[in-house]
Amino acid sequence: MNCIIPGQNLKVFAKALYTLGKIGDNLFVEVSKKQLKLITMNSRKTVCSQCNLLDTFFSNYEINENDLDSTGTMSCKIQMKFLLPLFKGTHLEKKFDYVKIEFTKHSDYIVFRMKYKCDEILMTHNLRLMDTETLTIGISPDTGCNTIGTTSAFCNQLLGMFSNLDNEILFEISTNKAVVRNYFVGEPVKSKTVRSQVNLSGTEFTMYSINEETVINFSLKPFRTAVNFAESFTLNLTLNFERGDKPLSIIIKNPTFELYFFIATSNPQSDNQKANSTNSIPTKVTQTNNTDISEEDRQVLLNENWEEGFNSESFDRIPHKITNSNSTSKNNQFVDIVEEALPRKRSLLDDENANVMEQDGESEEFNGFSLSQNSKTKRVKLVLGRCFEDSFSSQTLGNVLAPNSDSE
Amino acid sequence: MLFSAEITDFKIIYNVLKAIAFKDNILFRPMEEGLKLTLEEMNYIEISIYIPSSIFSSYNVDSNDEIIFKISLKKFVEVLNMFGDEGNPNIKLTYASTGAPLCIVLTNSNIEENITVDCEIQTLNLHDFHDISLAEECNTNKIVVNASILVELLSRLNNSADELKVTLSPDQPYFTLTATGISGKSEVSISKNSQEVTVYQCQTTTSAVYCFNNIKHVLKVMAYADKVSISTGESGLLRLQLVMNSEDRQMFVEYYATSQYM
Repeated sequence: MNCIIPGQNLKVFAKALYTLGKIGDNLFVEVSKKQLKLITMNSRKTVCSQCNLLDTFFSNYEINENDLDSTGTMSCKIQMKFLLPLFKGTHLEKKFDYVKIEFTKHSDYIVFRMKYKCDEILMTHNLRLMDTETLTIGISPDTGCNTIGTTSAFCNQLLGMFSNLDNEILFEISTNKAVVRNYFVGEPVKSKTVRSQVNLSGTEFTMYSINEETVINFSLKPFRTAVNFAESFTLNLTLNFERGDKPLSIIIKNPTFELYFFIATSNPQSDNQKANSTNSIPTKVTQTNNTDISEEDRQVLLNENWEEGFNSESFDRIPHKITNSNSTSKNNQFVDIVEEALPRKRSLLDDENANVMEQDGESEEFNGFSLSQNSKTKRVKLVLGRCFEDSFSSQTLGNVLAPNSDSE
Repeated sequence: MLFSAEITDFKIIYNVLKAIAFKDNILFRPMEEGLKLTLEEMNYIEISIYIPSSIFSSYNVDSNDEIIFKISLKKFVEVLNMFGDEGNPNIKLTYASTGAPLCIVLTNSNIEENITVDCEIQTLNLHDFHDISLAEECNTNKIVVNASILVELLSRLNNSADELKVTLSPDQPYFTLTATGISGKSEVSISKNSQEVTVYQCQTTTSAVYCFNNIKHVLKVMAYADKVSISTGESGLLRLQLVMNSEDRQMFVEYYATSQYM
């Protein structure tokens, strides 16, 4: 691989690296024929960030096809703290002519050659690589049914209305307006905090297409980071999401590069869980070229079902997503469990009402979380169904003498 | 009175002293030619600041005696910055006799209130002081470069590196800096024909490894310098001489570091 970043694009490259550096500690570099991907993920797997540098971003982009593996990519992993100091400082575009990135398959080093503008000074950095791993993010950025487009200046203004001490932000999305808050209704009041609420009309956004009204709560830090990046190059941001508790994507696009943020969200209205029990982003870290392992061992490793041990034990009380690569639908594991569990209960309850309480306790333990208020009312109605039925039936007993006294 | 000196506008002195303050207890040596302040660590690094007598508005030294004492650098820097960034204070240093405290009188002439600060810093006497001339040790090879480019190169070289190798060679690639550490290896070379290089004297190749952290001490001071002279010798001792210009007045900083492997 032989890529040259021209001086004028260094500012973008450095800023993108520092933006990713605010998210995670390790940087996954993935090279393919068309683009160079920089991916990072935070340790709690709640935020992922991906920067795609298209081949047009580089003044020279050469990939040796022999280096690419079966998926058409070549990847490596670098520690952020070693990489970031190379691109520190301002006015990099004035200092450097170009930066050349060299990397070959099976190499232990990635090479950065920085050519200074003054004289013929060339600085070479050989950075040691970590284990060859790839990070795959199991979501694509534009699958959500709701899309909001704004300018970075607008977002910055919006963020200015919230304190730096706020950790989370909540968007209440309706078809033609959005309410932004730093708290959610029903949350106990914390002392020494200011509750802020901003009402925004849909027309204030450059794009506002909502197909499903929802409430979405997510961490402010990655959002600030994204806005900060977009603002330094006056780019527009697009927020794409489905609903609270499904990942939110922030998309920043330019003809030569794209920056995506995937942020885990929660919906404080959907259930009575704590808001911070957000599902993590479905990702998978895979070892790539295990060159030291013999073919036989590799076969054994491939046949081993690593997931089994995890799934059989429901040690994780909070529904929490462990790296799941192939399907995004699996992402919401606990919703599936609820849907499976409820019909089963119903059939049992019809037969033997006496066992209700016992069954209740069991199912709650099984699910590992308490059921939502809504489903509880439903069940009460189901169990004590007769109480809600009309107390009088005209078919069996002639005329109605008095109207129903009970109200629901 | 063994020593007395007066100076206005000592911003540059203050900045330099603050930048080198990696250790307390600085050696104070008023001499005929000027004031020499030396900081030394475990006999492997030594950094000296020369303030020529011409910088001072008045400068008197008792030439019969060799005056040498130690003071706390931290306290001295604190006193110099008594007025903060404001005003243009005038400072007067006096040292009456051996064992006497160093008296500092600061007057802020610009402000209407006309505040005078009178300070005394306790001094420490030195009994066994060996003034060894190190200059001869490193006269094999020499390069003089602009400080700005050297600061840029050194600060961008692998920051997590432990070792810095300095190589001076009469042939290509001439002056080379190599930083090695746990994260990898970084290397940069400057040609002798570069616009940034003013002097390049090199007969034989010298190469030695130094502790990068020690070099970082001098990096902060280098930010105020205009030109840096790097000279090395057979023994591997490294000498950096920094020239600072501040409004047609010159000040010098000299730095010695021993190599890691002999």
